[in-house]
Amino acid sequence: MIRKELVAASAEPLILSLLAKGESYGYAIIQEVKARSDGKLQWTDGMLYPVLHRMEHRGLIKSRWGESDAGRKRKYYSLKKDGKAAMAKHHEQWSLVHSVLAGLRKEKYV
Amino acid sequence: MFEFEKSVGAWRQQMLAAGIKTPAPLEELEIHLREEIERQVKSGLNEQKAFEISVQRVGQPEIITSEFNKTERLFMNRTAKVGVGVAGVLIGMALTIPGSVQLRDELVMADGKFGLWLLGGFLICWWFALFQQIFLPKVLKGEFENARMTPVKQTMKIGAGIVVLLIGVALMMPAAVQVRQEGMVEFAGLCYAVFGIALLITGALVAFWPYKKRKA
Repeated sequence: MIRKELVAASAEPLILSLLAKGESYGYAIIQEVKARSDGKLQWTDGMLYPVLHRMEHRGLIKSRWGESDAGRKRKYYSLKKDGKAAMAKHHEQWSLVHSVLAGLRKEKYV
Repeated sequence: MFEFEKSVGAWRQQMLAAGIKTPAPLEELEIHLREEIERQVKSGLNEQKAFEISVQRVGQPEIITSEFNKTERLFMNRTAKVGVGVAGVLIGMALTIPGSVQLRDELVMADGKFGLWLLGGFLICWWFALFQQIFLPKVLKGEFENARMTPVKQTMKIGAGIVVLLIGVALMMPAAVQVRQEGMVEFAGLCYAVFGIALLITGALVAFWPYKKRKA
């Protein structure tokens, strides 16, 4: 299981990256993160919504109420222009951290 | 006998009791809870067990509520900042008026009016500093980054910019009056006007440009 701090830090970039593929809703976002991480990245489901609301307040994403095919009410979220810029920044920073770590690991085993 | 709707209702009451203030987040959470229960039931659990697991997955009402309240607080802080800023500029204007009127009528500021005038000017400049911090980052869309000045330094910078701006306006005035009265301007007046325009631009930049270009 991944540490709580890392899960929290990765929430925003993951949400932004998922929404970059198209609009989505809370439940689907959680399921997709779970599936993509083989269940290792587990959010407390309810904690996703305050994060989404905060991101909406900051102008990174927007929301609309809609309906599923089965007629269930859902709140769909999609990326805004500022969200795309924030996502690019996150990718840049996480890539940097990843490359530093990978470099250090390589040096250790050479 | 497990009553599904009654249990969901009780869960809603728990969330409300924990302090969720607005209905939209609660509705969203309830939709999530129902979807999770549905999934659990489809995977073979009975309704009661599915409900218990789903409630656990959604999380503790107090923790979720405190997270939602943080978002509310951020919004309220911003609204309060704008409110305080507007109050500041109104009080600032009220404080500068007596001194300005006395200066216009008697060409001096006496009886402590200069102190009030300075305080009023500071409040107005402080409002501009708040305005820049809150609204300009949105207008400039991330192409520039904040120079990270303290509010006092930013206020001083705006104040200095406005003083330069006013000197610029004062230097332009004789030429403008001459043009209005005589339809032409003397060379000396023109020179002052050009210098005044330069000061006007410099003052505006110093006062209202709080950002530096992002490093490559």
